[in-house]
Order: sequence, then structure tokens, then C-alpha cells
Amino acid sequence: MALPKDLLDQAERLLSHEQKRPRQARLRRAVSTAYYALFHLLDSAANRRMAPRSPKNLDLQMQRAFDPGAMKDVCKSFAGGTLPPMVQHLQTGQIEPEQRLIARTFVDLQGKRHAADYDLVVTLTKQEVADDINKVKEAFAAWRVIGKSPNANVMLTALALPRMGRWRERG
Amino acid sequence: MSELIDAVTAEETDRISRVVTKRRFPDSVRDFKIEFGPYSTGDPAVTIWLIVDDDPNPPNHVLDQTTKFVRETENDLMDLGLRHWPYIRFMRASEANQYFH
Repeated sequence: MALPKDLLDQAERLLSHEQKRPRQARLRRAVSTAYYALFHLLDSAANRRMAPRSPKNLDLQMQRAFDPGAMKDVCKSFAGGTLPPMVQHLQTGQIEPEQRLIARTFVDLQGKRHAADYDLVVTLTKQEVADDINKVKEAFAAWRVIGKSPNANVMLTALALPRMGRWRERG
Repeated sequence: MSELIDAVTAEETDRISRVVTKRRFPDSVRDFKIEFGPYSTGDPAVTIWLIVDDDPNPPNHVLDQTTKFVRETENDLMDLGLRHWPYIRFMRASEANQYFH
């Protein structure tokens, strides 16, 4: 948990460092850092549950194998309530609001991260970046609620092994 | 075929507009624009641009209003089941005049 939380703290510091007129470089790094805070919250949680502890560093090597594009597709499905049957039947009840929030935030921030790093056409505003960081904080809070549940295990396994379902893309 | 797509897009634009205007805007938001097309990632998307004052450092109460507005609007947008992923973005009024010219 140390790295994800440290990244989120750093995103906040980047935003608050220049109170009067935040520079674009800081705002853009803040968005990117907030996204990776959430990314590593999820991939490290999945890793703790799924990766063997030996040999040394196998778990870290496995963590490198997470595919951000596939994770986005999985999250779109959780956020939109369109789980494939072979995953839906593993869920206890409906997709929980916390699962949806985390999934939606992942998709949103992944897109925002890409725009922050590559799309310089539109100037980022402090309002938008503050909201992006708040979203990630809310996702962390949601994870504290459901992180140990069986439904969280389903979500993490799907993120790690996306071929366990045929994800119906919506947008 | 393109007429059909245009009709669907127009219908979605209407539904999105109703959601975005359902609530009082935060103090700094002046207007909004809806843009269909690939996002920065290349994925199909619909971007709802909130056009805001040029103030580089809005007060905290505006930031709080913004978070509440965006979160509630995003929840409603997800419930619409749109064909494209909805992003809510912000654009300064001075830039919007050129961007949407």
C-alpha cells in the first residue's frame, strides 16, 4: 500500500505546491501520478493475492505483466454493469457501487492521464486536476470498504487475467 | 447509414444535455459543449466540456462545488448507457472561443 498511497500524496502536493498560478507541468504530472496511484493500488492488491512468494521477485515480475488496455476494458464492463456471464456468475449479487466507482475512476483517469501527457491542445485547469485527484481519493476510500470481499477478488482476478471473460466493450 | 448515426448522435446529445443542465452549475462554469469523437487514447468517446472562467486559482468552495457537480453528473451519464465513454473535461472560456470557433 505504501507506493499507491505515496503516489496519491505526491499528486496532492503537486497540485497544492503552487497556489496562485499552477504551472501546466505540475498539473499534468499530478494527473498522471494520481492515475498511477490507482493503477498500483489495484495491481499490487491483485499480486498480493495471486502471486507465489517464491522465488524472490516473481511477484514483482508478475506485476509488470498487467496490461493497462485490457484493464480498461474490464473496468468499462464493471462500471457499465455489463459483465460477461462467466464473470457475472462469480459475483455475489449485483456489481457493488464501490466496484463501479473504482472501475469508472480507472477508465476516466487512464484517459485523463493520456491526455495530460500527450494532448497539449487544451490547457489543464486546477479545477479539473483537483477533481481528478478527488476521484482517486474516493476510489481509495471505496477500496477500503470492499477490498477484502469476494467481489473484490473477482474484480482483481479479472484485471490480472482479462481472458477469463469476453468483455463487451461499450465505448 | 450516416444519417442513422447522425440521428443517434443527435438523440444522445439531447439526453446528455438534459443531464448536464439538470443541476445548477458551479459558480465558475459558464457554459458547456458536447464533442463526439475519438478521445486522446483513440477510443470512441463523448467529451462534455465545461467552459469555465479563466481564473487560474479558483477558491476552495468552487472546487468543492465542482467535485459535487461532476460526480453527480457522471453518475447520471453512466445511467444513460451511452454508446461512447463520457468524459467531463474543463476548458477556459478564452480557449473555448477559439476551439469551438
